[in-house]
This record gives sequence, C-alpha cells and structure tokens, in this order.
Amino acid sequence: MPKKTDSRVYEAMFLVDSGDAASWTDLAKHLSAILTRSGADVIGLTRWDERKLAYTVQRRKRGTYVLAFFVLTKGDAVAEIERDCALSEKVLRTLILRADHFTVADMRLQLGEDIREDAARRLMAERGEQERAAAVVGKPARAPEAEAAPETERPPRERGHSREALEGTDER
Amino acid sequence: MPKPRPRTKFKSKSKAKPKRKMVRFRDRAKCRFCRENVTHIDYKDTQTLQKLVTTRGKILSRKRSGNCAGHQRAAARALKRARFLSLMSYVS
Repeated sequence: MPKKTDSRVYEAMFLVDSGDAASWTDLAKHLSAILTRSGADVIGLTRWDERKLAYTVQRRKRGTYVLAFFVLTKGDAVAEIERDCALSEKVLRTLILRADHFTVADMRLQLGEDIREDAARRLMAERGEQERAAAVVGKPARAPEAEAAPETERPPRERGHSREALEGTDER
Repeated sequence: MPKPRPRTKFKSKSKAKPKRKMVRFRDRAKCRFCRENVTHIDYKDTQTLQKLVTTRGKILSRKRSGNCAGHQRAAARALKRARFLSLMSYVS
C-alpha cells in the first residue's frame, strides 16, 4: 500500500480532433473518465489551444490541445492512461510527464478557471505550499523570455554567414 | 616640365586597409536561460523554442544558440516533446 507521500503530480497533454473538441463537455468527460479510471485525482483539465499542426496527424491539419494536471499514487497508472488514450479514437497524441516542479500557482496560471479548487487545495495542504509565495515564483521560463524577445541576439549570428548560407552547406 | 598626374580615386591595393576579421559567434558571459535563471524549459513554450531552431526546424548547435550544456540538453528535450505533439515541425 503506497503511502500518501508517494503521490506524484503529472501533466498530460492530449491532442484531439478539433471536431471532437467542439462538444467540449463530452470531451472533458471522456478524458477525465480515462484519468479517473486509473485512479488519478484530477487537478484540472483545460482546453489549452486550438491551432494548425506542424505536420499532419492522422490526416488532420488542425487540432485542439487539452492540458490536464493530476495526481497519481502509483506509477504504473501512467501506462494504463497511455494505453486507454491509444485505444480512444478521439485522442490523436498523448504526452504524460512528471510535473512536480510546478507549484499549484503555476498550474492555476496554466489551467485558468478550469482548476478544481478542492483538488488544488488538497495538493497544497499535502505539499505545505503557500498560495502567495508560489504566485511570485510563477512561471520563470515563459514570461521574461517572451517579453525580452532578444532581437539583439540576431545580428552577430548573421554578420558572418547567414542562416541560409550555413544551412545550405549540410544539405544534399 | 611634366604635368603632375591627376589624382585618382582609387588607391593602390597595397595601401588598402586590411579587412576586418569577421566575428561569427560572439562569446557571451552566460547562456540565455542562465541569464533568466530558468530551471525548466517548457515544451509548450514554442515561442522560446522557435529561437533555438533553424528555419528548417533543425536544432541549433550550442555554438550557435549560445546555450550552456545543461540548458542545451533541456532545450533539446523540450523541443523533441514539442515535435512529438506536432507543436513544432521535425522538418520543413
């Protein structure tokens, strides 16, 4: 029997067909059913983005990304979820990663209103996290990098050989 | 008395200034992620990842991206995750 402290936070990104995502309540129910079937405590499930795919996936050019955060107490449940997603016709791609480095505030930032408060509070109590302190840490990877889009870094690269010129050398 | 030769615009080659040596890659004190104290590179952050690939979608070398070893590994991992989800392209 795993102890309470063995629980781990995971994030899952599902790529689904935009047509299926049109009926969001059905899709959300379907995905959370997959997660809860394997014993996951879902912190939140949100429609992350709808965008053009970088390459066609099962003949689809557009797709909807669904982001979920959940807590699992046993690791083999990840394989169960992945298998269930592979069997599901609605899910085109699944990526499940450990998300222990995200604070609850980070998750709140990503999930927006779709966060489930009871699950979030439970996790915070378990981790002993403070709401305010976590919010300051926020998401360091994104915000400053996006704002300070370093145009200043370009010139030195292009002064010598342009990108195309460099690339041309290793193409055949 | 011979006429003085008209002055031409063109100087002789030997007097031309030596060409400045081109600097292809400027050394930086820190990598872009170290400067921002980034601990995790998120695969969802395609804006950042886009700066680390060529127009073809190939991952830039450490020399070109200026990343430190640790962040280069993290960036490559994030990029491959983004590729799997079709957020970034494998080739173009």
